[in-house]
Amino acid sequence: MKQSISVVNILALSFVFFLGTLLPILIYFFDDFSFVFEINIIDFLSLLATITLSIVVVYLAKSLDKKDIARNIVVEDLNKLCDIYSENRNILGKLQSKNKNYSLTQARQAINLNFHRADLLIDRINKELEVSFSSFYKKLPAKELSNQTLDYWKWVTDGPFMIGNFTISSAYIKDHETNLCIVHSNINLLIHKLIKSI
Amino acid sequence: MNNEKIIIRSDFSDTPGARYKVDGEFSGEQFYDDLLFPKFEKAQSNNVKLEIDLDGVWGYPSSFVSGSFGKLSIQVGAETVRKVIVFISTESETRVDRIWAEIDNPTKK
Repeated sequence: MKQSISVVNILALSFVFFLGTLLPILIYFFDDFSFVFEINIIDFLSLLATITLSIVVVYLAKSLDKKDIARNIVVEDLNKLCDIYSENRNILGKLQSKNKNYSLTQARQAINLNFHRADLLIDRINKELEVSFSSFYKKLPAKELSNQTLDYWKWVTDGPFMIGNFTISSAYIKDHETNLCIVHSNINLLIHKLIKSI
Repeated sequence: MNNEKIIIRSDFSDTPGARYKVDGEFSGEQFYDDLLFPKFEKAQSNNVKLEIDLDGVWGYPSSFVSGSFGKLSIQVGAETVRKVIVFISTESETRVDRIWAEIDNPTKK
């Protein structure tokens, strides 16, 4: 679809160009005008500059448009990553409500699955950055996104929550909220760095 | 001689648990005692690699990673682990990175 749009653009530009060229010729043959064929070099150069600028602006706008689209995709995925981690809050809330149909084992499996989904998304984001923002990606410390989310993964899956006789408490919920906010901040900072780099 | 192999999802579990056996089923400690260390020793003595397939598992808790791979690293040293173990994962590079990060800097608990 995009290819067909650019062909249409080229055809439209070509049509306008030939129309502008042919029209004076047609007028010359069909009317009594006498043309003065002296060319003012400054006017001619201005015309060339105008044509060149109009073409350059069109292509520059298209290029910036592509960068915007790529950036939006990456930012959307980084926000999705925040959402996945936030789902852990809901799981812990469900555990805290002492729902008899929801065990600690189920909560652990659900949270592990969230971290699995998060890691898959981190892989995808890394590939997107490598393809669309390669110079930005190379400037980042190695494994940056993985490192920025490491502490949160360790805090949840290697903390009290994983110990056999764990009982959820308000204190734990508050600590989780703090650690969740920290990982969100780390991810949002990466979004800001990406936007600033463009 | 062929490399030693562990396919975690089929040889152990697709839902690894916590750190110690007392914390529940499929713990890191259980994995270490039943599979990881015996296979590691065998691979090392036969001078072959130990290939560990990580795919098909619904997430690796840090406690499991620490209780198994971290413990191995404390036992034999990170450099030795790196010489013997090869991780296989087509699903996630990040998961492999996290495990190597634990091996290189094991959590002592």
